[in-house]
Amino acid sequence: MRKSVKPCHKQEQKVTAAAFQKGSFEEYLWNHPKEVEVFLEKIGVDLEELDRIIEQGGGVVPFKNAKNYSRQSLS
Amino acid sequence: MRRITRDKAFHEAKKFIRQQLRLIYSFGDITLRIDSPTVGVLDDGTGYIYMPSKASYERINPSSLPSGIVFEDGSFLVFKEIFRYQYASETERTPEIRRIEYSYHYHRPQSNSFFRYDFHPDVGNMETHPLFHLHAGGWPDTADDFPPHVRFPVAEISLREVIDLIRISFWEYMT
Repeated sequence: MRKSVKPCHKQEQKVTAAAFQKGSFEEYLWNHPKEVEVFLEKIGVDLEELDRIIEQGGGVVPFKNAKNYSRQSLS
Repeated sequence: MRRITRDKAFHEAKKFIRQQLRLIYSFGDITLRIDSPTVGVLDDGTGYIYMPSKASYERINPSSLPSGIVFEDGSFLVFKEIFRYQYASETERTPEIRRIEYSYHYHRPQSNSFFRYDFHPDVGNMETHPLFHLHAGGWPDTADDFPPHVRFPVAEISLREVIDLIRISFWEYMT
């Protein structure tokens, strides 16, 4: 029986790095987007404005007074 | 490997930007100031975060004034992350956010020293540029640019790990 030979047009995949590791705090955040939203709103990030900026091609994140909110004050 | 739509890639990149902002602003207890980062998603779904901006990041030199994430002792962290929602390899069945490039530059003006974790696979070759590498060194007071330095091969690292490293090395351990 003749083997079928298919032409290979695979594009070489570039090396990339994981954004976060399994079991990490980042993975937890990834799975809890609502918590991320609540945190950002609490420190004064305007999420609607942020989305608008991203959708229009990018820009500076709109927020106020981030320094005033520490990890402790939010826990 | 299923095709990822532009909308899906865009949505996931946007979600990752929010997540990174959440991380950045978690470190308010050791920071003096956190500048607003510059973020966006390109038409092909590639997302980016520059802290504080691409121009500032690219102009960093020994005499740069503190910017980005500025810590209480005047040291500071500037960085860039380029990422995309894609498959890790051709055999993977589930796509995820992958970093295409990153650079985390921590600068200590008070001791004329810095370290920088880099991942930029399109630059250099493996002999001179290990895939994931670390620059670390110092400079004399009169230096205009960073001295030529070794690229130490290291494991990949995340933004949170870099900030944790700074916290442990220069706050918790020193105090």
